[in-house]
Amino acid sequence: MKIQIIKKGIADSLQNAGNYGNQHIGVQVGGFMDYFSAQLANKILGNPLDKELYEIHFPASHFRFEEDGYIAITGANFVPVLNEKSIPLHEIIHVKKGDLLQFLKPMLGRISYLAMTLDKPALTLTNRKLIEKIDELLFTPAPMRFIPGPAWNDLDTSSIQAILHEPFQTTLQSNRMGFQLEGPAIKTIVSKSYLSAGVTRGTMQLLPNGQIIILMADHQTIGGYPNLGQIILVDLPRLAQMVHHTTIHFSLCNLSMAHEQYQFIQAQFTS
Amino acid sequence: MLKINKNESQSWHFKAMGDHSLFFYLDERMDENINTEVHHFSAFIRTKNISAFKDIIPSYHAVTIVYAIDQLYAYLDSSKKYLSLLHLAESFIEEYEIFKQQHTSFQYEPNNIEIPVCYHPLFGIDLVKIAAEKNKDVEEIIQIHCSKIYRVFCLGFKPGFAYMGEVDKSIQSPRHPKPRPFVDAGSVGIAGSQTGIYPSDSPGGWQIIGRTPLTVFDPIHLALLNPGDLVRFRAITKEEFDAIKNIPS
Repeated sequence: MKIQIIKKGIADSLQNAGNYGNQHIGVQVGGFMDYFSAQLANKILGNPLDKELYEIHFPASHFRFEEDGYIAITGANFVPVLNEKSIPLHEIIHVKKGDLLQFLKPMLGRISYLAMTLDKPALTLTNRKLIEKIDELLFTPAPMRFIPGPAWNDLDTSSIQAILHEPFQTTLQSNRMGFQLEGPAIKTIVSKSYLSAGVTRGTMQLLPNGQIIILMADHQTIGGYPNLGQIILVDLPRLAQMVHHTTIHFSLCNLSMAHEQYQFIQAQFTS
Repeated sequence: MLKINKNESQSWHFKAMGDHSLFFYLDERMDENINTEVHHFSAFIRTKNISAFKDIIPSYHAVTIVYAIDQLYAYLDSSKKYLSLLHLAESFIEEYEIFKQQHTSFQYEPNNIEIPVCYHPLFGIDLVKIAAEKNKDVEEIIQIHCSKIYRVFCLGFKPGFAYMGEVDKSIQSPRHPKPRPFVDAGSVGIAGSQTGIYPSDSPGGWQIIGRTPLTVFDPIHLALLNPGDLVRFRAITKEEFDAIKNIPS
């Protein structure tokens, strides 16, 4: 569907589910930061779940539609208005050529998604339950669950206790590459030098200043900071939606639980 | 006690790294033998052609496999060979060890690549300083940099950025304490025992000694250098540099 950006927002981009296959030559994967909301917007319109769509930060772009079609907006609530009239999130919205879409105010969350299609989507009732479920996963406070990484055992006891029991906060140093946190200073037992190795979305790296950064969609392919662990995939969209100065607690998770949860949620998208 | 020839640094271990990657690793050292083993193992996994594996990322001493969870379980179900993800990882190591015993040559065949570099002071902005620090002529630094065959340990930092080693001790030079905000694409640098080429204009902290006229990365042809490649630098004049730059590709 043709759309024109008539005023550019601060950090809007077209995103898909990520471009894998070239990390061995240093090419970052990218892709949806909050893949729950992105998939949801596509599902509401009957699009393939991984279809490319707009990822929108606030202040958002102003969009003008150049043909008739249907849109759905999910994720953060930036108070979307179509021709200056308020429109709801999570619904199929019919738009006409020349219509103007704007976002007025960041009410909740950090990233909004705009999916589009030319074809009239079928109304499905099953979406309601999924919408509620995703809303709960994104915006109900809950610990960030992680699986300990290669450098976890190099931490001193008080650092392990701090990560497991003390609060951390998101900061302004947060972007598509990573979210830098602020919290108790974390230390390894010995000052060992680590060799760079492959990292993933969700990797918790220990920076030289004792703070933790969590790698997000546009992270570099290899990293040499101590790899403390990985936030599980189902908790990353919640992190992606956190504005700065949001409190985070961490909790341990195991592999089978992480896989079970991921598959349980993905099954609802594909059913 | 009997395994006197067994080099402990070359036996593979693995960890599940988070919920969508597997981390296979050797002894954590920057070492050509260890890294050769990394490329053999990485090639071995690649030949398995498992579509659930989205990326296979070799690094100095490790191979990280990034997988799609749903596709991985579908593969485990259909293969009937592996009971679980962890069983699959263990089996890979065993299968690889058996493969190694049965074959004298491996799948991994490094490419030999020659890279022309112009060491003109216009490009090699740190060359004079390094020469002074090392008490050598600029010519000598260039000759030493060109005299070795470097191995591409791995790529990272930016698309196409190859970490190569090892630079001769006599010209090793640490990173600038504060990175430059701008380094030109094609710049050849040294950082400690490693050498590398900036594929695109970017900030960078390496000591810059020259520039190649070759395109190191573009989105269509991808990377000039691949993990495991063997690289030799050849000194060219400013005129040759300009000539290569001007040839339409």
